[in-house]
Amino acid sequence: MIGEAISSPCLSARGIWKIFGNRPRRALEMADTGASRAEVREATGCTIGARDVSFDALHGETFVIMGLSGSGKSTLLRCVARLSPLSRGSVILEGEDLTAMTEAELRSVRRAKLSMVFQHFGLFWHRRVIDNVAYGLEVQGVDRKTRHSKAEEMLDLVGLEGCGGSYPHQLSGGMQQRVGLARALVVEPTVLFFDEPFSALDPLIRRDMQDELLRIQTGIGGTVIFVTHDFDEAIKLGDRIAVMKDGEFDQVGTAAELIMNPATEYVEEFVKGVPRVKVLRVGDVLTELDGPAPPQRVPAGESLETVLPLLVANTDDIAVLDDHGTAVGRIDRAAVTRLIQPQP
Amino acid sequence: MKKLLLGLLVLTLFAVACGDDSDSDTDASADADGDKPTISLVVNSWTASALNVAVAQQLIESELGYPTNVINIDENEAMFIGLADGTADAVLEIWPSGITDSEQAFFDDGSVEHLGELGAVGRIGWFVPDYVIEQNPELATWEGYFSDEAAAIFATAETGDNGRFLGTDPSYSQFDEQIINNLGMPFEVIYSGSEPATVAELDARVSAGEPILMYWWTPTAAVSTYSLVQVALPPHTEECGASAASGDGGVDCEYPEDVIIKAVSGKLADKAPAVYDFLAAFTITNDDQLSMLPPVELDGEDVDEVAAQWIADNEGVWSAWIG
Amino acid sequence: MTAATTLDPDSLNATADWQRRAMWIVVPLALVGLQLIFAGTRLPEHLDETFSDPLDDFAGWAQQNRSSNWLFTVIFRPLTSLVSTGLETIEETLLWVPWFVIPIAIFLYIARTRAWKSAIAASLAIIYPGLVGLWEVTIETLALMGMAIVLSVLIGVPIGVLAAFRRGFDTAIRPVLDAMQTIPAPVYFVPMVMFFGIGPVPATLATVIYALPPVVRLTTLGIRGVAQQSVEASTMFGATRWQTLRKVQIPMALPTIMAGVTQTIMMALGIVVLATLLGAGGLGQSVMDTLSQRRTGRGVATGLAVVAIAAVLDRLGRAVVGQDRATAPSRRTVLICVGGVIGLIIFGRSANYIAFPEMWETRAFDPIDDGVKWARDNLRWFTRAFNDTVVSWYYVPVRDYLTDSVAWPVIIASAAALGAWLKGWRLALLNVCAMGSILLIGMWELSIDTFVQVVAAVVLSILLAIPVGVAAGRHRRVEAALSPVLDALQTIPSLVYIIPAVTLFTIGVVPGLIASILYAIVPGVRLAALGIKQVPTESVEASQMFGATPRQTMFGVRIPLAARTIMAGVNQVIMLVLAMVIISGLVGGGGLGFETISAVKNSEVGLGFEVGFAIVMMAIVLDRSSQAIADRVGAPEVAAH
Repeated sequence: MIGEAISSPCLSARGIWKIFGNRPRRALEMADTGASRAEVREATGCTIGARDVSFDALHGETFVIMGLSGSGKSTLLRCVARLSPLSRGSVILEGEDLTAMTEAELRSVRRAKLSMVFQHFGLFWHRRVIDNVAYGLEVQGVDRKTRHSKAEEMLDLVGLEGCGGSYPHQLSGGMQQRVGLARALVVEPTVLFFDEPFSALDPLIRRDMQDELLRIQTGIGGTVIFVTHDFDEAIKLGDRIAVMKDGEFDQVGTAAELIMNPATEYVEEFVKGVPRVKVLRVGDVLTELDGPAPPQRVPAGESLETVLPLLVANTDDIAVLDDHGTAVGRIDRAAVTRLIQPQP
Repeated sequence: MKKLLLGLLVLTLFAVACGDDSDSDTDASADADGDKPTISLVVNSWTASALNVAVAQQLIESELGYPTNVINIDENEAMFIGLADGTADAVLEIWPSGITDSEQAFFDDGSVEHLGELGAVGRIGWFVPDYVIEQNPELATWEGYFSDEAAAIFATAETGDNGRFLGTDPSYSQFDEQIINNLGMPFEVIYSGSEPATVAELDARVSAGEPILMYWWTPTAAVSTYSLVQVALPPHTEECGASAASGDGGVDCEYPEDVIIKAVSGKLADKAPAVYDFLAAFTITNDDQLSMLPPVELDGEDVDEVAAQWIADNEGVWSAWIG
Repeated sequence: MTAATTLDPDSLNATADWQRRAMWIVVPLALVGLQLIFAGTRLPEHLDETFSDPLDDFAGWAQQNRSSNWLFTVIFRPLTSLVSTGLETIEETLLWVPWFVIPIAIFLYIARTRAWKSAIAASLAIIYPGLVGLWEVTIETLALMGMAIVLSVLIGVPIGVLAAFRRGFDTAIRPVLDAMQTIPAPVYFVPMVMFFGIGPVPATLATVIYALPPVVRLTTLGIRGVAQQSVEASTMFGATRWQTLRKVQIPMALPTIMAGVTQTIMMALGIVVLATLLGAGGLGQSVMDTLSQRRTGRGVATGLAVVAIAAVLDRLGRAVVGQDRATAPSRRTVLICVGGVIGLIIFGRSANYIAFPEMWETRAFDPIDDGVKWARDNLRWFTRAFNDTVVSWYYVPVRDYLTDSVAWPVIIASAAALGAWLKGWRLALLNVCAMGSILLIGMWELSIDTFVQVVAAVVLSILLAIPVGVAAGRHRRVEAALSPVLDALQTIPSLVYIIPAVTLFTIGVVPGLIASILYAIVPGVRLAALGIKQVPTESVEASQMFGATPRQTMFGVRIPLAARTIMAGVNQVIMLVLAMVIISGLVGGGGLGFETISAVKNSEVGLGFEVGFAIVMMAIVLDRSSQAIADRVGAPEVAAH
């Protein structure tokens, strides 16, 4: 989202394999020769959690891994975060190979650059909220005064002013996850991992938290790897989305790319129910200008929903402008019409 | 919080350290001679033992100025170990009939020292309440215990047709099974397991006027309380005594007279010579014990108070023990 | 059972069924055959000397080398003086502090968690021993307990942590912990004397051994129970393992660890009286003294002092972890309180108001003595008849039948068949090995004797515990009324009531049975109540909506759903009954209990080991078998949480 930085990869996963079971080597050999998940399981008793997954998360990008339970998304995240050992592959963070590091090296990278928000919050129930938030600084050896003042700041940021003295169990679920969020942000991480952070929350609170995250994300601008099983959440938060199934990525792309061109039937299933006019932006449906720009103009970032009344109100072409105000195309009425028709 | 607690701890320790000076004023008797070591006396599980020790303890504290404490332990090898390593300094009432080979070894290597006779003479034997003899005069001696009728008198639900002989605490030396088997009596030994259990059973039987045959000894208050009569067993012979010592299972006679002895740790003579001399002279007779036992065993009076009373009444006796 | 068979393919099912039915004929026939073959044969005792002789030799060796061998001069002697110094320091400090400061300090410490009721209860409880003239001996026992607890935690927590991280280590120590908990404490008293002499030091160390298992177990449980995500969160921040352990895992496991410590305290108090066998002194000795003076009332008074200590230590233990549940007191308040306590100490010391004042006539409990006398004279018609019925219609015939009439191979084969039927060949093999080894070390007849008593105590305990527990589970008031009684039963030294029981019932197995029942029903009642309370309301309501009578709901829904928890209670009842075997030996119960007492009192290491081994084997067989039964009768665990 922050223009120039977004181009370079921040965190790269290269050919990640994760095999669960007692005979991972044999399972890998079989899988290399093309055996399916079921065949490997049958022959070795091993389950393939992640199968040759690679991706690049760019600086400042929110990269969402979306999949249903059992798809291997959390497994992949835990491998990338180095919480569980991977069977093969490597994870590169800003040029450093996390998989080749010693325990101590990894620890210092974690202190400097990583943090994580957990599905069930993973709070320290025995510590006050302030000490939960300050924990990352505490293990780095930051003195008490400094870490508390930073933690206070962060609590303010997530809307928990004055809650520092409470214990986590005295807060509501949504507030608890705000503590988890503040705790992750206070160390100013380069990469933030989110493991289905909002799935344990009520729908309304979930939406609040998503908005909160978007707000904070805009302000801080770290790279986010976000795992969810909720496609709507993926669309709302993700710059790019990877749809995962059976330990592999079915498709990686922006929300619009997935909606407009689902690569597999599986992806299509998810896309089907999505209210497209809400998700798609004007820029996603533009066609090339074949003449001078028409007088009606809308910015490329506008959602289709907001321009619909314009489209209905008159029959003139509408020009689409980029960030700099240059006309880059026009809205193709036929394409929009196709999009808003009910799906077969 | 942690710092606070630490501070408190330091303060307390400081207070403890400072308090030591004032201590001597408050517990004058114990600490007046701070350099005198504490004398540990062994109390065994019977009352007479506690009384002997209470007398000695009070005199050692008041007349010799040594602090004392007591260790309650059974008369067994553990006690000898305690004496040998100096945890305990003295035991005032050892019944020679109960000394085992491994215990004798402590005397032999000098780690425990024989300190002469106490003055009391004990007698272990078979006892029945007097009304049993009144109703069945033949039960006064062992010869009356061979018939099935005699067995039936003492039979219980557990022993069936046999008569029950009530044994006691397993740390007391007992040959009753051997005597019964070797003489061929229709009796079975049931062990009470502890002295309090024996006394509870005795109390229940006597209160109901029921017969009971049991292991007991003199001098004890219970003999007069419950009017116990000792049953005559075949006279003690040397051969029989040898059987008892060797453990070959051939005992078929009465228990020998136990001339009770005193013993001290081999280290006591160096540790506290005055106490050593005092204990060597220390004497308690059967009469002394019998004067002190009833108030404790029957009236539930405090052992220390009864001992103090004896000391007050017998200054002429004990002043001779103080060197 | 049925669930398992329906899963099988039909054909297999039919064969299995047929085989199973055949077993009902084959097994009894085989047993009868064995009986015919082996009737009247002597018991093999091949390993008797193999085990006990080397141990006795070792004991003799240790005896002779106590003063010279490096084991003693370098390890045991210094350890002894270390523990001894610790004990003396605690005791002297507690006696140095003016007595009234102790209840006040206890009150303040617990009050800091705002648990007012428990703070008041604990400070009153600590005064009680003083009121009945037992202040100093109580302090002596407290010092021993305190030292034992400190050592248990220092040793147990690291072991527990290690076991939480290393599965292999955990598997390795599990049987050791099981054995430590089932071997009657007096069995290791003998080696304790060899290594550490007599007095409070070996008593402390024996207490540590006895009480260590719950600390280790619950530490492991607690560390494992810390939410995975909290640990991962810590890891993700780059915390070292040690940081994670210290800042996250141990603090989060602390409530569970403290539950272990509390259990440790209860277990440690359980051997206060037995520890007098080592010359431990303290309250245990006071209890023994009252017994030899036959002052039951005084005995109860003294026993209640043990209960009081238990209550105090329990509340203190809870207060250690209770703080985060409440608003912590301000720093100022804490400072004022600490200052106040120090002020009180200075005031008490300077006013020379230190020792507990002698204010209570120690005969306050003597009416109980008269009660016992009255019962002795007026209830004998019933108690003696009860005793004789149990002895001559149950104990003697069953014991003699199993010892004299049934050949030993039949008993072992029956246990194997039972094991196979309950749980398969593993349990069968276990039963055979355990019972075979009892046989080979020559403890067969004593074990049968004890077994017959244990079975009676267990059955009676369960018959009493389940209805009482069910009532407590259904009615809050019954539970509230029972709770202190159960607490007291679990901590009061049973000799206090077992000796009067001898007066009423006579020497023999019955007083031991009574003590076992009173001690062992406690977990039975508690777990039955818990099981009933845990039954989901929806299930009960569903039953009621179908118009079931309360009785139908109870027997059709509540009890079956609670069966698993109730069976866990039964299992604990068995273990506690086994723990009471020793006490039973002190009042004429005979069997393994008397043999243990005898081994300890006569310092026979080899015999002690054999008896301990036999008890552990019996415990294993009974434990595994009762668990297997529990698995059969118990409803599948309620999944919803």
